[in-house]
Amino acid sequence: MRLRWNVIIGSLTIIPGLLFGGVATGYLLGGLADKHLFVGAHHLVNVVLLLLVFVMVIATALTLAERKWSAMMQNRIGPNRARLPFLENSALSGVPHVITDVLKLLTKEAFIPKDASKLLFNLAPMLAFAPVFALFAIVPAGPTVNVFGFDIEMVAANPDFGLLYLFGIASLAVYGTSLAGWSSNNKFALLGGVRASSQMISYEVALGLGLVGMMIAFSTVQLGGPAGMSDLQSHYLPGWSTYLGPIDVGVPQWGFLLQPAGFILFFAAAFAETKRAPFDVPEGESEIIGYFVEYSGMQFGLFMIAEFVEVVVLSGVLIAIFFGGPYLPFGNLWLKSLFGPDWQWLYGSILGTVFWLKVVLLCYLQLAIRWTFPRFRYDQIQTLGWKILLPIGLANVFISGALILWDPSLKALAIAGGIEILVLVALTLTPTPAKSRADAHIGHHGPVDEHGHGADHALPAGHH
Amino acid sequence: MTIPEFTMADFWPVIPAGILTAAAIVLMISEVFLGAAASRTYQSLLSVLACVLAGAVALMNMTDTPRAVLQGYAVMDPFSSFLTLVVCVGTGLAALLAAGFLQHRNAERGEFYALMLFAAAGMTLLGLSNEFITLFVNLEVLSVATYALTAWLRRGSRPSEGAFKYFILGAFAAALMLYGAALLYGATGTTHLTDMAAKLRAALAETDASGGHPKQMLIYAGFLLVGAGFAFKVAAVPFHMWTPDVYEGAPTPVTALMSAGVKAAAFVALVRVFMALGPAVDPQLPFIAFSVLALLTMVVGNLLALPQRNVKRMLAYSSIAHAGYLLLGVAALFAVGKDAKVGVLSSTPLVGISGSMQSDVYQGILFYLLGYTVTAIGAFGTIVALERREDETKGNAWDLDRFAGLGSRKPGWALAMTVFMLSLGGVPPTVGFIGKVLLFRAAVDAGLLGLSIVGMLASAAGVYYYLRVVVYMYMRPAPEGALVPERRWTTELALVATAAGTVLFGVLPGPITALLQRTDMLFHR
Amino acid sequence: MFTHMVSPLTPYLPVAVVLGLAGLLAVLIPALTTRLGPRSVNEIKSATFECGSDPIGSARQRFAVKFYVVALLFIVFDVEAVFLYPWAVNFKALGWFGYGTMVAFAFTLVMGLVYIWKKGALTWES
Repeated sequence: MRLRWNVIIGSLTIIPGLLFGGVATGYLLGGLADKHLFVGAHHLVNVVLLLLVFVMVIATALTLAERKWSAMMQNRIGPNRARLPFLENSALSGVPHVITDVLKLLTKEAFIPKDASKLLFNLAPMLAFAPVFALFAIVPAGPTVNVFGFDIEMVAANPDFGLLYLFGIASLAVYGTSLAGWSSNNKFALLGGVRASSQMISYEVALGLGLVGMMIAFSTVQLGGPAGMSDLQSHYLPGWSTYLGPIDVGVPQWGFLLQPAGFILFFAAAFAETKRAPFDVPEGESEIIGYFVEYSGMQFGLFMIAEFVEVVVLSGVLIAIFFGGPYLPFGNLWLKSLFGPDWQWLYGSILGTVFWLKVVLLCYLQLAIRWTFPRFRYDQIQTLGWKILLPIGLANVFISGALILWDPSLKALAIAGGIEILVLVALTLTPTPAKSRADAHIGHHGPVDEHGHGADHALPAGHH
Repeated sequence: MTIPEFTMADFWPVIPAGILTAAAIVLMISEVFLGAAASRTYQSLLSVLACVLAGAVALMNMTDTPRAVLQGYAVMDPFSSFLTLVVCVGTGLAALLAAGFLQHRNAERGEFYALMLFAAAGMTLLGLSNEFITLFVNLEVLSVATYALTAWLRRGSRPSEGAFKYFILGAFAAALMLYGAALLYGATGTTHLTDMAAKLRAALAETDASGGHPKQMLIYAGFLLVGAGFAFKVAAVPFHMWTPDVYEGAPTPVTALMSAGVKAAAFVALVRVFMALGPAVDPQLPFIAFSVLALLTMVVGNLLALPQRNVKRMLAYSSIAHAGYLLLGVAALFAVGKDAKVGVLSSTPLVGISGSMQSDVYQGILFYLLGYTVTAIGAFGTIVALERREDETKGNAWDLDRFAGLGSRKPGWALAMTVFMLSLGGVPPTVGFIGKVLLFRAAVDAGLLGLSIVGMLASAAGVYYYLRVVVYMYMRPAPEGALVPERRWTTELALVATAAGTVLFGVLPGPITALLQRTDMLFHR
Repeated sequence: MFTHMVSPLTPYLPVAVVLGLAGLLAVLIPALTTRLGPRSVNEIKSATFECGSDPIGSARQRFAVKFYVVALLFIVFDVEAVFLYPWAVNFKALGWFGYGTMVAFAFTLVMGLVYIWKKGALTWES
């Protein structure tokens, strides 16, 4: 495949540049707001900037990226029809499709099937979208720096209940899917809704357990603020740091190092909550379409955009908890010392850009997973949630807890985490023996086709 | 944050419940891992062993100094320890009965015993709860387990009817009680019984601008609702409607457990709550309320039992009547204070009872609970021995005819049943007689002469229907083609144990009464 | 100006704003599409979509009991997770005693998990 260097170099400069500009605007506007309105007004600026601009723009871009990326993986060209005025000769990598998609969805007819429950049918997409949109509020997207004499936190809201907000609001999304499935009065939709709600509540347990280890390690449920998980990860493990010339290096207490099992649990569970492949039985385009089968226009668009917003939010949360938030793995102190007291916002903006680049990378990872793995069967999904993730989650909590009590400096935990990572890498690199692969494929379920279409338990007919 | 300091002394009172819970978990897990084992009798024996161990710990706790434990959420006093003992005795005997009963129906599973032990753990913890939320949670633990046990036999409509009635009404009563507790919490700002008692007086005296007492209604409504919730659990008239159907529908060993353990635990919790809070309000009020409840329960329970030919149902009504006698004891507890004048049906002026008299009443109540537990389980055990699975749907499984000619067919069983009936009727030389003597004497000493006379008359009426069973056993010929009852060693062991206990404690009540002869039965701060 | 506006609720103001904004967006976006889009209703179009064939019966029917079991299990184990959060935050202060009590609590629930597992409540293949 021909490498299009102009596209690659363009992306590598334009994307960080845009992100940097956005974050810098946020810090400066926040400083101005605090100066001229009231102390704390920068949070309101962040609400608009982070939630409405960053998250929504990235989510919208993902609608295109998903199609483009899948096309590349499947050796297709992907969307390239929409053109901008005066640029009719260039497809611009399909970027105009973002605009045309929105226009198309907005101008389509939003009809309601005659047997549907009108109120609930209209309510469902709102309930699916609103909680997901509100989730990002507690994720800090940059360090706290002093701008115009005010401490500007790059987070929309930093309530003391932190992660509880995340769990509480995230669990509301299940109402949207189950109501959509039920109110459509369509058997496919009902099946999708039931599967979705069952899957989402199954994985919520693992979702909650995955983070308990981090709560224990940092004794907090807050993400933002000086005592929040995000800022605590900028510290090195005590005694395990040094200076290479002016640059500070060491082993940072990133969540990924302390809690690799917690990360995998949380990532897998949250991925299942987004209902994307391989966890997409509730939607399953090629079989039951899903709980939104009867929706059209922007009502369907809300379900779709909610999914992409979820991808962005999940990336942000993962980074804030497990990947050091906005911080670099080393050299943060050195970077901070480069800028004078009046130029701290530049330091903040650089780290903010780092944060968003991490988010983009994790979004890319999620797209890659979505287009790599085949769909799980429903029983496999439930087995993974209850028989694998839940016991691992409980074991992880108590083993980590014992290690932290034994060595409160978290070093023992970090060593255990390092060993866990090594074991996981070794397991991944070990080729699967041919025999067990055959077993896994056939098992006792009888032959199953490539996509794993197996038992369908909600409908009694048609199985075995 | 302050980290509570706990010592081993805090945990002694909950160790019996811990033993019961651990055994229940073992049973539950053993069921799924050893499910296909040929015989499940080991499950029954394991339950009995757990009850024996828990009872031994409870007996040890009896002699310990009364104190508040676990930050005041629970108390450890002889009152609660004795209840634990009674519950362990009752549960162990019921588990022994259940073995034969369930094997006969091919329904013996570890979950049954596990539920029984969970219920027992809830009962023991209910007895020592000294805080409303703890109390409610433990009440639910025991209730939910008994709801499930009631529906254990899924054949036929009776068990599901009984379980459903029990569940709906029980949930309703629990909600009433919780609501009452919430009102009391609203008036005082605490859920700890001891703190609440201290604050109730001040809350009652509080006046608003117009000179009224704004919290008075709140507090009285709270008392009313809490009382109604308890009255449901102990099956006091007029909250007794569920009892016959539930007792009849439940598997007989479960009925035995309900009539003994659940009732005893609910009584102990009732006494604890009202003895802690009652004196803070006008003591006349709980006195009148419990006197009226006792009167109604004694009279109505006995009257309703009179026409019953179904022995299981008769025993259900009889358990209502016995709740009435116990309520008489509870009423006597409140006949305190020199100026107490109002006595329902009393002919002697109330002079109030002193501390030692109060301990007499406690002694009466607890002895009666123990006696009733042993006797009722024995009586239900005889039914277990006699009833046949094939008859359950016909409705005559528990008819008096079943007992006809038992004296010649199974003289041992007939003798045991005679002992139980005499004990329930309060005829010497049985434990029921001693229990009634202790209870009524204490009530008379407290000044409740009129009510005691009514109680004695009612129990005299009760002797009629108890003795009718004896008459059928010895003076009626066995019906044609009567099925030969199957013998099972576990059932017979339980019958022997209960019958021996009934007579032994009736002849030699000394050790028990000596154990209960304490002035510090109920822990007060 | 509000320079000195400090209330204990101030940290929660952005939360309220975010929730309000989320609700507003969720209401506005579908409202927009119903204004902008065309509207033509006919019998066939508004029928339930089941891949072209006429729907048989209503979709308001019973579904597998497994889903209810999952809901029950969720309640049990999610409540356990909720109990873990306050414990986790105070973990270091509670020390080994707190660790031990939570182990006892979790052990009880794990035994429940073992039970339902062996009982087959988590098995979806029939």
